[in-house]
Amino acid sequence: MNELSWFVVRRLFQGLVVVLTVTAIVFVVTRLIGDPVAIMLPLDATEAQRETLRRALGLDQPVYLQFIDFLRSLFALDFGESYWQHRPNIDIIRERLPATFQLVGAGMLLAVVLALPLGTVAAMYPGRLPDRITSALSLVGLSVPLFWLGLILIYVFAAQLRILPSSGPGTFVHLVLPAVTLALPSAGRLAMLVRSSLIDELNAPYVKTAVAKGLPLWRILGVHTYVNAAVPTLTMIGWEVTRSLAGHTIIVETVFAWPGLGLAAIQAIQREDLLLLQAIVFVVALMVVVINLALDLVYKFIDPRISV
Amino acid sequence: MVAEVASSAVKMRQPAWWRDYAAVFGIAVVVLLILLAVFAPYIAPHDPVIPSLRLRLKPPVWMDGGSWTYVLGTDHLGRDILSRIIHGSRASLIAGVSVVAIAGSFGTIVGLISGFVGGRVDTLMMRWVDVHIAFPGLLISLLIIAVLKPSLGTVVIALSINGWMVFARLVRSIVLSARQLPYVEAAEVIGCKPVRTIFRHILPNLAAPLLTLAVLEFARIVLAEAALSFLGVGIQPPAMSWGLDVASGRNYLFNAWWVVTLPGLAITITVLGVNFLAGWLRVVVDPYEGEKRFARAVANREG
Repeated sequence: MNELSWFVVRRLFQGLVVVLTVTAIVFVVTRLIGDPVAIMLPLDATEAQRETLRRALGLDQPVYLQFIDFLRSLFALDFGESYWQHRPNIDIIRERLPATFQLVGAGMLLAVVLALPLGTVAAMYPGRLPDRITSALSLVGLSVPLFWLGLILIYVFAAQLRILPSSGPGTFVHLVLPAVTLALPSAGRLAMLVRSSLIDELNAPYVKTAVAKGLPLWRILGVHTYVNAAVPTLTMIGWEVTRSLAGHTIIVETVFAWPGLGLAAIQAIQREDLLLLQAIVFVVALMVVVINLALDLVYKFIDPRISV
Repeated sequence: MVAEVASSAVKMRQPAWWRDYAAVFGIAVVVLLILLAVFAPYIAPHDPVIPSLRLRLKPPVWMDGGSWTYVLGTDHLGRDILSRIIHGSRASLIAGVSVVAIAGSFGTIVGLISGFVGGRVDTLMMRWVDVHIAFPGLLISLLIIAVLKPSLGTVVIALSINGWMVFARLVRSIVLSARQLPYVEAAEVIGCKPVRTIFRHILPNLAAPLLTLAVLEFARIVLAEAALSFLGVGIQPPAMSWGLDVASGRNYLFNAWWVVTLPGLAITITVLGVNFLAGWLRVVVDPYEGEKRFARAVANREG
């Protein structure tokens, strides 16, 4: 096997370890810390009903058998029935995924589109207006609660200016506010990173050489500095995407009633549907692992020096 | 040399005077937060819990129909918003301090062991940290909260479980580099016991960076507690939290913006202040930063 295949194999193995660990955490939290039977049944349930549910969930088995069983059904993508909707959990997830992908896709695209030019100009002219906008945005990303940012945007654009719908799914226009809410803090963090990695690159001797040779600015940026600043920037974008998928979308989807996976997680908690929540956690973990894996492969192509 | 100083001056985001104003703002915010939280019942002008339907959705004093009796207006149940903000500071402070204390001590212990023992123990522990960090916290927090009952205690547990890894990483890296220092090596060579080496020689190196990280984490926890309470899985009414107040004002956003805006502003100002404080601490408590600052000042005077 050549080096690249080894790289892929090792990364796959590491991803598997992450998934297994998450599964173990989910298992410990749901089965050992809490009592699923107590959560899923009403308080006045009879002992016989409890016993039936316990047996149906396999809780009368020894713990290690339960865990193996748990693993087997998860890897077969069998997440059981939703307690709330009385249909397979995998169907609910499949139904909700596109909305979340739309939101994350639009939000992250917007963040990158905002951050790259802002960060570049901020790096080239430190202290000027674009630099200040970048600093202000990054402070927003650091200090403003996401849910509050969303509500303020609703107030300004839906209640006062009346140019955008306040919430709900539907047309492209409905996506604007949620995507902007998701994008703004990420854009701030990204722009700050682009700025600092570009400043590092712009001070490097090879850029001075390029300037001395008389290369045009676009060529220096495009061919030299961007490529070198790509690895940290991509790492950050990947980080932002996984954070959005597994955290920020929950908040943004709740604020805007956007029917994605995050809203489903909150609804599952409200309806005490533990199996659905567990299924969502597992699916999101899987996506995070796949994204990280894909990023690792991209790095390998950008910078062949990177090893496992 | 001059070029290096210049480039590091460019890297610094703000000039020194701005940094100090930000620090004053940060310290003021933190002191205010602590005072409000400790003396809430004495400072708050009204009872924060008892509803009064007659007084529903009164605007703040600077708007038409506002009065000095309810400076920041009232919410949808006629409760004084200022009083609720004052009382809500308690949840933020308690959550922030307890999570930082629990996650901080656990992370520090893991980091000390990992860095000091090394070898296979180190590899295993750091793998654990890597895996845990790779997996996003909010979902696991939701799972833990769904299993236990939502309350301030549950929030603290859930956030601590997801918050210790940064401390472990920081402490481990400092221990590793501190062990390379000549005086620590000398202490080990002359036969200091590990406990003495750790507590007497390595721990003082940890104090400054740990303090800065703890303050930064405090800001993050305040935000996380607010988010969980907003989602309805954090603090439960009648207990008070800023995130909870933002959530309950949501339905009145279109005709009473202040119910949502003001508690949210309280969160933002608190987090901003704490972040400024952390930025200032990083400079003040780090002797190397202090030297750099001095050198920069000298270079600026000469250039």
